[in-house]
Amino acid sequence: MLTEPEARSSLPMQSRILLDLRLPRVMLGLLVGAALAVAGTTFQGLLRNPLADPYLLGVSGGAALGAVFVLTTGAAGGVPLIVPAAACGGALLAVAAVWRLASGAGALPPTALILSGVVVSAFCSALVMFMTAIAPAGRVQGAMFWMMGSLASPPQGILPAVAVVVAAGVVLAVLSGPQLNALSLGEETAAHLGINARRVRLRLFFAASVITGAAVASAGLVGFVGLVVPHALRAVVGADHRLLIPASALAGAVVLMLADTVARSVLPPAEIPVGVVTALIGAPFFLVLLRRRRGWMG
Amino acid sequence: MNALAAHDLSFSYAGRTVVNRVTLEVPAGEMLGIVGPNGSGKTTLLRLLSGVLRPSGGAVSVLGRPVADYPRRELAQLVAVVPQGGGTVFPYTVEEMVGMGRMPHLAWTGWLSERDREICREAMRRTDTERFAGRTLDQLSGGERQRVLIARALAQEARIILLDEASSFLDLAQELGIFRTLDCLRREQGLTFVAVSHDLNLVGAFCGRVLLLRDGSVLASGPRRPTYTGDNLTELFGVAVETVEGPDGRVRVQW
Repeated sequence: MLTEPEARSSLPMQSRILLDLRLPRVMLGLLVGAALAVAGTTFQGLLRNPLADPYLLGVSGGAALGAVFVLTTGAAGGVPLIVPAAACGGALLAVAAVWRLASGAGALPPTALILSGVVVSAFCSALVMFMTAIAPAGRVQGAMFWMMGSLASPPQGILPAVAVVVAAGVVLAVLSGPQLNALSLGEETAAHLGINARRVRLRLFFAASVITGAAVASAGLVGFVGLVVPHALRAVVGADHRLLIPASALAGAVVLMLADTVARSVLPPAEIPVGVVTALIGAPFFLVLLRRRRGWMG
Repeated sequence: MNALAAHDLSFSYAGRTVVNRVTLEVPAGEMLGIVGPNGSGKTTLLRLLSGVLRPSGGAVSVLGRPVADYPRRELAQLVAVVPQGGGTVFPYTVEEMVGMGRMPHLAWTGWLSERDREICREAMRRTDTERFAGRTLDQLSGGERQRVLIARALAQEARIILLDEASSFLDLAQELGIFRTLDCLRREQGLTFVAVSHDLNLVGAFCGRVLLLRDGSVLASGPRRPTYTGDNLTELFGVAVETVEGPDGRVRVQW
């Protein structure tokens, strides 16, 4: 009998590349893509804002800040999975701030909400760069990893945990599709339709934040997937969240995996961070949306 | 029995009393019209009646049971609300929108059964919205959208339907069409309606009971005949108003 590593080492080189390098990376791309697209769809429905996206809202920035904070302060101290946990915590804090801005008296109009998210992102980015700059060498991967999302070098050993968290969050969001339909008509209408708006909203904000945190912990900041995917899908499957959420999970997974393939193969042997690819496609897309909606988005 | 009743209902917000000790009763199968100047608290009163606002004093009861005692879902099976406007951020189709009326009746999966779909089709037939079932809401006129929202309330199979200015901004034919549909549902199915409206003539024509609201307080309320008079309306709006009662009991308002 061979032990597993021995069995693998006896495989031909190409199979080992496939199993040890390519396959985990493809899996990671699928997970991160599904997480970001579902988070985007969910944030859009909850905030009734079609421009919402975890990156543009500053939620991803909050997650990156949480992760970098525990890494640079050494608070991680060998505690398993504290980095993704801190990323989730950062995402939750950012979402709480977004919700305060988006709700209640003096709520921000949709575009102003996105603007505030961009400012929060910029602030978080500055702190991330600051902390990585003053951190002892070797304690953190470079700021570049967190700033320009990449699937090339996820922190070791977190893939299984990320998979579990993303799967749980996506399933929760999919099951909440009918309630999200009602909530997307406004809190009051949802209540008239028999929905406990507060509870459902909390549950969905939590799920979307946690999967964003898991995605950021393993791939850094990958923007625009959560914006582009739901938008394109609404034209295909319609606005009904019962279909839109599972469709977003599938399409987001495939889109990010393809984007990573592009990132890996356009300029060999150099590799572009996948976040650069998504931003190069997503940013113009966002501008077109913004322009089309000008007039009533305020 | 009263389908809907409120006793000594008050609501204060930021130190201001918006609704002040309102008592009202709507027997099953009747339509109550709520009229009053802008800012008199009509919409707030309606939100108290629907249970989305908690009163600071008094209580609302639906079919004899306090609203606060109902679980949300159970209340939604009895009371539906037709809001004003109905524009949405997302491109839902008419069919999807009406289907959401089934929400308080669905199992946790949220998918409609064949029976649910038949109820939705019937609701669309009653409101003449079936022919644009597949269109998205932003492709409809204001009147058509409003009818879709009424269809959603019918799909909810609620016995009591509250309407907040459901016919404002519509042209005469659309407005009249909506009130005729409601009147028909009231007579044939015994549904109960509470309608906030700016149109005094529509209220005079279709509402068997009226409530005149001024500064959050009831100026007069009761059956149309002794309540909806020129004197009361003159006092309510501060403009000389006369009423003429037709042979069918409908009241026309002139100024």
